[in-house]
Amino acid sequence: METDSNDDKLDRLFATVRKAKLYKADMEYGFETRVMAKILAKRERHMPFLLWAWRLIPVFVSIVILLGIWIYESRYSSMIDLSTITGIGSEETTLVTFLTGE
Amino acid sequence: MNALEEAPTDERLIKAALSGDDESFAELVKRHKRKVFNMVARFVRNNYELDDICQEVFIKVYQNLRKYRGDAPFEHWLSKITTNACYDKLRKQRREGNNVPLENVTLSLRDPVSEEMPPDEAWEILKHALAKLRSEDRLVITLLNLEERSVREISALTGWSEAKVKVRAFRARKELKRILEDNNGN
Repeated sequence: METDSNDDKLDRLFATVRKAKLYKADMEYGFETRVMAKILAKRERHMPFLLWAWRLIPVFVSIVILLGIWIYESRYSSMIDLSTITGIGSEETTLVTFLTGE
Repeated sequence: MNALEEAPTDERLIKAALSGDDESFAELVKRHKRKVFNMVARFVRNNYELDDICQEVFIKVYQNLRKYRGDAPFEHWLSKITTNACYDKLRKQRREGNNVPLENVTLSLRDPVSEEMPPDEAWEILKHALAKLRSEDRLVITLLNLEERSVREISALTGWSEAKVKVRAFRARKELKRILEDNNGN
């Protein structure tokens, strides 16, 4: 008899608990924003190498362009150096010609 | 015009989310968050845990969205993920031995559990008694008696056979009564 009565009490306890408000409604406020922020953060953290490589493409391109400019410039400056040397050589020849009267 | 204004179905939102539309996934979360909150709230100890587990559920949904085949409503699939997350949480709580403190709570079946008893107070009593149950027992009692799900539904959610659900429900109820009666005797 006691058990039956306790069963009944337990059922009534369940019925009352079902009516309980379990949390404040404001907990739902902005929930989807919080979830999306967490998902984005996780996505960033687990970004695959290839995606990083894609992101680094502008950096690689800039390096190639800078290298190209540097190589071009160094070639140009070496050509100037040669002409300068040639120029010095011809100046000497002119001076010798002038002094010797040839 | 009306057809254009109609809210997209879950399936359409899932398809859009899978093709990289985050807005669609956010809409899916917005649509189903209340159900998940109500379910998880029966298993956690405070609001921080509630928010944490609910977020965890939707992150799992996002990560496994490709596995959703669409042969059952999205809500069923979501309930299954939520149940698993709650069960994991219960097991973790048991491992940590981190039960709800019993100060200032009188667990008793002899107390008049009448219609006049405030539901929040009744929930406090039951919550403390449930905390003493094994994870599986608490899960089955919560789904069967508080969520009012059928044995078949519980079987689908947990992956246990219907016979196992019935046996566990019987044992869990017996144990819960014992906890409440023992406390009454003290």
